[in-house]
Amino acid sequence: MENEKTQSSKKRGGIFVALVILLIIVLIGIIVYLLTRRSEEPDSNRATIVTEDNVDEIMQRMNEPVEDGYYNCQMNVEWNFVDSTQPSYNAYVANSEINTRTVYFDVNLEEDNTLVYSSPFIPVGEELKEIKLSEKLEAGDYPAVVTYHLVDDEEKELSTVSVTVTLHIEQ
Amino acid sequence: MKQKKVLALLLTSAMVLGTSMQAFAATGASSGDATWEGEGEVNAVDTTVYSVTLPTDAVTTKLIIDPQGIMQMKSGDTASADDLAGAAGRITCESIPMIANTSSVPMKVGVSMQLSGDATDVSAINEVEADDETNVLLYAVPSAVDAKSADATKYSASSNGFVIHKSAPTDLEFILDAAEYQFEKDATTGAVTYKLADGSGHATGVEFAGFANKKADWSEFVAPQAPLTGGPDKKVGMKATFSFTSELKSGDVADTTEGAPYAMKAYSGDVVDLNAGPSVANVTYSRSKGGALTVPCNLGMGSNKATRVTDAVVVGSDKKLYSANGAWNSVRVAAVTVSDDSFTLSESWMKGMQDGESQVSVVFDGDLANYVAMKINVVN
Repeated sequence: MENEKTQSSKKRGGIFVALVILLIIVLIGIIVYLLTRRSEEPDSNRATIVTEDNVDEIMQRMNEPVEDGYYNCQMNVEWNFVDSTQPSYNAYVANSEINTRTVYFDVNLEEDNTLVYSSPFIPVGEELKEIKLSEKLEAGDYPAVVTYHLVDDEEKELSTVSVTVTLHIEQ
Repeated sequence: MKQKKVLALLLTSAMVLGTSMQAFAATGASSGDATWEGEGEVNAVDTTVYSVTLPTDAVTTKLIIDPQGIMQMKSGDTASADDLAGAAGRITCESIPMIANTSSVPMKVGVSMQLSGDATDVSAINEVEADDETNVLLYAVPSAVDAKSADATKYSASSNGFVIHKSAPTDLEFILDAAEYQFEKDATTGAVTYKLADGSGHATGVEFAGFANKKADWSEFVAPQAPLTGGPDKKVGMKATFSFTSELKSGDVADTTEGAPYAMKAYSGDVVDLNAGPSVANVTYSRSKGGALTVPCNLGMGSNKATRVTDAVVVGSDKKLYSANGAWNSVRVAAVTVSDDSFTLSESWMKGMQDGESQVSVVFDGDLANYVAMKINVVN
């Protein structure tokens, strides 16, 4: 009986030690992660500080043409809607044949950045009409920003360009 | 990445116009069809459609801050101590963003720019190094000439830098004349199509430049080296948003020649006078030997306007100085002619160029004491 108790106590002690070791390993992992982690979110809108480590790369980049650096916008900029539940009767956006990339675009209200429309992909040479808002808006004029997203064949985003439009909700 | 469906069927069915028609901006068309010359009905879009080539964030956000002047040290084999001191703390951009109007209507194109991030923005050059903080003076320098197309080699810096702040956007507006379109009628069907005339279009560029406090500690703004990934702890960023609408040029323009196809609207915000220093255009031209080379350039205005070349210096591809204040240089100077918005290196000048890349500096008269530095790569 005494022997069984001793064995059980030893077993619990072993489990406790294993748990402590496991906890220490997890804590070390968390500390290493916190010490080495940086923002994982891609952030292209950021100036580069020149250092001796990156100067060659920067100077090489400056001599190369910028890929996906331009987009030819063919569109109108005054979009009329009888009311916000119906498609616009005059909005027009085309992905010109001058361009080389498929695009999609989002429309956000300038005032509070509310997303009111997100387009399907528009291949080069195609156009989009009858844009219908995803949010209900009262009658009035709403300055908004159209952000075009240029994407590659795998639909990976390459670059963006933003243009202002005005949404006229009549009723 | 959002999952989206391509509405190919819808889009294809909506294509009522030919390829060349897409580039046409229907001036003030408000509804329905338009008929041309009584024949060939064209189903024009039911509102004014613009065709504008704009820079994406791949161009507009690529600012480079060089607190120590490392780039100048790397590129300038013969740079003097003064050159290096002047290069420290400079802000440049990887390329010059261009804006081109290829619509058939004159347009007012706006660019709204705003600084973001953790640096402190200041309004004047003498504020940049007033303390040890990470101060930046960032400004936009519009083109002084009509670049015709979105070709950054046609950009030439004007004399004003328009300061970009964090607290509110800096809004610049440009008037770009209409592009010319050729009207073609199909003899069989009578259909009329419109095609952008070769070389037609008007454009400007906005170069981003400025200064960063070289006395400040910028280490927290430096992206980590591998194996670390992601961005630095702090950043300097800039966002540009564009706008456009049709507008005839009015008298409310600045920094341009009357009647020119390109103008900039007056601006009342913070402006840095770039006349305080020489105006430098770092442009590389590739040319075969022979044939004159015309370089678009801001040569000043009114009584400040440069009328002639006072000096010209060439450092050949072998790094030797080939002309400086000598008889031979006088010949070189005479071989450069100046017009309203450009200067031309004559055919005899170009024939005298060495094969390969030479550095050329042309100095002008006038109160501005401007010079243009450029590289000419002679290819045979």
